Amino acid sequence: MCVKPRSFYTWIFLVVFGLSGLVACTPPSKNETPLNLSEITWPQIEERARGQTVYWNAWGGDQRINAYIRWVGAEVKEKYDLTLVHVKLNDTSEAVARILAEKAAGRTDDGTVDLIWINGENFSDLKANNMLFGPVSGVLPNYQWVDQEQPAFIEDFTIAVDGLQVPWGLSILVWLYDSQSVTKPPQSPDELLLWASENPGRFTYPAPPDFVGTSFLKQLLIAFTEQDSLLTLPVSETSKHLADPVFEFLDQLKPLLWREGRTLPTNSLALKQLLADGEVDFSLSFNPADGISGVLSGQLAESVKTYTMKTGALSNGHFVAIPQNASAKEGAMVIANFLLSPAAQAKKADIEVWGDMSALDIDNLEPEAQALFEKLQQEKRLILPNQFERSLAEPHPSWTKYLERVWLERYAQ
Amino acid sequence: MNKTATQLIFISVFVLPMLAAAGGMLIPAFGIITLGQWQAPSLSAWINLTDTPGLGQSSLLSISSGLVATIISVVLSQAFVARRYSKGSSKGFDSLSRFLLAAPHVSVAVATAFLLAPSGWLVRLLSPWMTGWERPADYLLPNDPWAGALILGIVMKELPFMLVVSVAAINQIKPKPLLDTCQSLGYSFAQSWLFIIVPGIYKRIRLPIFIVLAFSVGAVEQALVLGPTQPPTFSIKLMQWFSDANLSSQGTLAAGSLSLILLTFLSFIVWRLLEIVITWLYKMRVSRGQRQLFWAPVLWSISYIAGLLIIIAVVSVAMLSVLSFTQGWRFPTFLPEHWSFAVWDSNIVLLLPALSQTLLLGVTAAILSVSLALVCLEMGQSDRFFEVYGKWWLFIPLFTPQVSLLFGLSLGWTLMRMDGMWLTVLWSHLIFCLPYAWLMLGDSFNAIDSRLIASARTLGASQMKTFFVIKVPLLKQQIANALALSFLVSASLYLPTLFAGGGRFSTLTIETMALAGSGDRRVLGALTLVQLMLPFIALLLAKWLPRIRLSHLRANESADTAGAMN
Repeated sequence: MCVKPRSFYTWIFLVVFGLSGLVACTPPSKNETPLNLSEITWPQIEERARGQTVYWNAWGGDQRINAYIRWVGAEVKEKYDLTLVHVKLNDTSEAVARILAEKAAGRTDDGTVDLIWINGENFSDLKANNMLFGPVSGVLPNYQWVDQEQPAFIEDFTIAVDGLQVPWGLSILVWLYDSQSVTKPPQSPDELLLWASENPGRFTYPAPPDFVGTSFLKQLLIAFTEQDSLLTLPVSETSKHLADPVFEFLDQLKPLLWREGRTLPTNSLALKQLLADGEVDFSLSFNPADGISGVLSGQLAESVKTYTMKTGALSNGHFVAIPQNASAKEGAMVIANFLLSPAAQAKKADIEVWGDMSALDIDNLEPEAQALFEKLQQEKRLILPNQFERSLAEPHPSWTKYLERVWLERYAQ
Repeated sequence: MNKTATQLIFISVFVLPMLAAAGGMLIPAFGIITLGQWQAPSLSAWINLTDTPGLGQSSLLSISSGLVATIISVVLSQAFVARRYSKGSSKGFDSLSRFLLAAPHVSVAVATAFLLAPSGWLVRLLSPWMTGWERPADYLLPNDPWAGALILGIVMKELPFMLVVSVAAINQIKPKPLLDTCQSLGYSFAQSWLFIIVPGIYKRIRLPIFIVLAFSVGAVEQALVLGPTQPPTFSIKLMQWFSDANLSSQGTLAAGSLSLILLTFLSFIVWRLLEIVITWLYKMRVSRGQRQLFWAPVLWSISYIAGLLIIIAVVSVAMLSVLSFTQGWRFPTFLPEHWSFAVWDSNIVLLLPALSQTLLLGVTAAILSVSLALVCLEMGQSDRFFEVYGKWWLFIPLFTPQVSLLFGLSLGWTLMRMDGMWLTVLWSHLIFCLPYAWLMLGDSFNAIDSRLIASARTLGASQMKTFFVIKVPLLKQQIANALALSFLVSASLYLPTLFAGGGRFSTLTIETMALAGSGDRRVLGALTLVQLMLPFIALLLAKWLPRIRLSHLRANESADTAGAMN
């Protein structure tokens, strides 16, 4: 041995303290100069992004979406020398809670979240706390292809987007049903109640505050109030009675639910598994391709079909955003820009990949980009927003919180 | 100097985190820091907490399910070891229970869910020929509001643990002469065992029982998959609050974490009361001296239940793994209609990084915790610091609900900007691996014949040389077992990996939990199968490691002796 230690214990001491020293002294000084969006050009951003590691916090419950995010990771590694790490969340609010906790702890830079898949009340929470970086949308070259007229991209759950989150795709709340047991799918909440009373134990919904479960409540709210304009405003003492019919409906529905409503599936994927196992006849999904892909993969029976009710289907946009204290803002912007490229959007829209509706205005794309979507359409692998007749806009986010709170008080005790 | 160094390491790896965790809970819970501002202490967090709907029921559920699961595990294990002893050793059941012991909590929980569900394979086995069900019946399992499924899930995991520790206790008692005397007095085997041997075993497994009790009250993995949902158990309620973006609830969270610790203590007190009552009943029975014949059928039927449970648990886990090779398996067919590798094909990119992260963390944590445990034990022989305080600190993580402990720690990690780092994850793993390594090594280390050590020292060998040349070779097998156990503990850790890593480090357990209770069950099956390979790797290592010759150490040592420590 060339180095002769004083003793074995000194060695251990050195190793362990060396390690803890390393932990304590890891330099947070990655960005030499702060990023100023008004003074920087896109090529400079791409240059600064090179070699960065981007921690993208995105809901990780769906294997197909996870696989698509892995594909994005491989692409940006090759094209921009970026390392993308998908931090899989059970619920987006976990990451929002972390960002706000970092803010409270005074961690204004070098945060743990670089990019976040987000919309609705989570966006509203971060925006209200000034924890979003930007406006970034206008800086991204591919933003020009986005459908700028789309109302869901101008206001998200009635909150002005202001370029603080970048559109990624469009969702619509669709029903999956087993056409072998359900010959005439119900077209309104009242018809649903009627069906449930004829088929007790064969219907259920994900437990709020799961976002699909809460969306089911919101869809009921909109249907019962016939899109009252008060829903676009924050819940107030004078408007909260609008939600009463929702809970009267749920009270009537409860004894007719699967397991008499004593338990509910934790989320829409658990509900889909129940449909696959034949325990219920309906499932709900924000992805209109869910049913088709489930049949293709063998998880769902071939008799499973997709539809929306005549009273309309809740529809919203989903986005990516960069927190104010993100460590790799440049890398996050490059990835957000890549996500808007026609190639990435066409792949995402492919039913065999994910089937999420594109955020782009396809008619305005360059011919070769349009061809990508046309090919999908010819092969019947594309779902377009206009396939569903009545799409309902989201109410103000405070309704989400109000419905969740009342629901928990009434049914979670 | 060296003693101080070891003490410092122990304090920094182990004592500091415990203090930080306590601070991280107490300070926000009493409102001393709210939103980063120092304030006068207040009880508003506690008032908020008590206002939460369904809290009383959640607390009751946690305590009752924990106590019932522990009682069932203890009773079943005692009946089973009695039968095992009377029949001579049963190799088959021993390896089955070791297999279950090594299987991750999540896998056993998901397997139990698939066993019990109305569309699960237990019903498929009987449908439609016996039940007449063409479609799954509508009954409430798992997730029943009485926590029956949760209790069963915990028992399936804790029964094997109780079996292993009980068998070890029996080996220490050497029951043969006692039983012979008792039986010659006309008592049946069952009665002799129950009255004479069980109290002896109980004394030796009391510590593991309290560990099981603490674990069951604060169980997260099982409760997420199998537990009631409306309301959930207290630990799950805490988990739900963590993901609540509402910042003012930080104090409420801290108060909740402390409450879970209080609940655990409450369950300890209830257990102590039960002990007193049962001891009294025992004394009444024993002093009467009646020869009773009904004990045998009671004991044997309970032991059959235990055996059946173990078999069912193993088969469920196996069935879950089989699922990953299926394509389409609809109710009520008992066997899958189509077989395919599609799930493996599409998920191998997910499995491999998670597997390598699990191995990397597990191996590093095992080596560090076993080394640290050995060094501390060695110091403990001449130093009251480790003898007296070391042990007590060590047991804190085993007796504290993980959710509470990690909430306290995560606040410190965020402030120090240490969350989301690999080394922090490793550290959090060490906190949980070290106690097991210590427990595994402690008894045999102190049982080394002191005359051997004295001879070595009189012959002029330094403490270090004695340690390496005498003690380590003597303990080879125990060290290998401790390494395997620490590795398995690390591989199964969910909350520490999640909290310390900020979700950035995906291990097999993290991936499984992300999919548990939702998602494609076939992918869960694939993850379970890979996780089940880990125990085999660990057991192989445990067999293979002790064969490494330590001769090169001996050669080096003689040269070092002169300059070594005094």
